[in-house]
Amino acid sequence: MHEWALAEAVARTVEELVLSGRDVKHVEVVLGELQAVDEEVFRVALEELLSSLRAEKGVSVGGFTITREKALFKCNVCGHTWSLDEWGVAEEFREAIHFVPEAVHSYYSCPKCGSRDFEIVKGRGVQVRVR
Amino acid sequence: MELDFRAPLIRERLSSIKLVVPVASPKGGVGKTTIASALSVLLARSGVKTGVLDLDFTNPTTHIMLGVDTASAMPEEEKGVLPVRVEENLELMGLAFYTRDRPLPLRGHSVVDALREVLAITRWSSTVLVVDSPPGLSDALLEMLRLARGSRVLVVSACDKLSLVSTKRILEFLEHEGVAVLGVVANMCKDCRGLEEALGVKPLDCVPRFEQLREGDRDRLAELFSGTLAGVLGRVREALD
Ligand SMILES: [Zn+2]
Repeated sequence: MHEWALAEAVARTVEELVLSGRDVKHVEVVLGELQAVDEEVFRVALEELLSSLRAEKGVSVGGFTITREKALFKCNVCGHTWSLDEWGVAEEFREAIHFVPEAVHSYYSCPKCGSRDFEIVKGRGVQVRVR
Repeated sequence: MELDFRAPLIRERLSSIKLVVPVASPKGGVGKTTIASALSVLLARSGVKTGVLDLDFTNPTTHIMLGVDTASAMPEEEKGVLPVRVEENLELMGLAFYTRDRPLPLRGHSVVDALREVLAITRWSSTVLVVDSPPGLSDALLEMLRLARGSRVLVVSACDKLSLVSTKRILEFLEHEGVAVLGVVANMCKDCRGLEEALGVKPLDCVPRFEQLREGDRDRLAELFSGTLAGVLGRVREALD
């Protein structure tokens, strides 16, 4: 599943950092609202991947937390900003946006002026921060 | 510290591919998608496991040339996604599957984001990856070259003066960046002497304009191009050895 691929990407990033000599105390994974990642599935996958990293390669990190970020959009034409609720993303488009958040530009436009030339300011997809 | 978590995964996803061939053109309308599609079908039918990535995100058409219906086909989810199987040895991935042929207006950084996302999720099973790039030195092509070091670019050029000037620029850029060039294909061409003179290179193949080409007919595509892309196919084989 896709959550697994995302967790794999996070685990690999951590692995590379640790192997390059960096001490990773904490990993914060931010799940953007737009991509609609299933938090529980993602958490289980990441736990499993990190524990096999520990077992197989001796790579360990202090711990990780998952936080969520609301999506925010800004129109490049009229300047309007809005949240995901203003669209109410239809079920049929969710899967496409789940895999490639940019696909949202094909399905939705600025609620105020109707332009598709807008920016995803926040809450696009997965972000990783380490301390 | 904030990290692009997709980078290590992209490296791993691309590591099983022996050769990445971005098909680039100096400008639109020179038949780049046709050449990329024909090359991939010929490679696949000669037994080479071939993947096609449609990198022209805002205007994808490779699926149409290859006869893939995005309304019914969808990359399957399996710890990432599997590209759509077009025929034996031929798989295709691109944003058309997600946009369903609607317009996709993307600014530069969004193009780069979308490309990283696609490369991070796609699990190729191919030996060669043919990349149909948007015209010119686009964000998508530059990012692809950055992510897939060791790519060998196939440049498709028409033989008119405007195309040749632009082709020269692309070749100069690639040389400056140390990117390997697989070669130049002269497309819709009657006489390659002008191209040789302007670029100082002999084209790998000189492809005439085919009026009988029908989008979506892979058998016809393979038939028309089987004799005309021999130079390119030879270069790909050399690179694989
Ligand atoms: Zn607007």
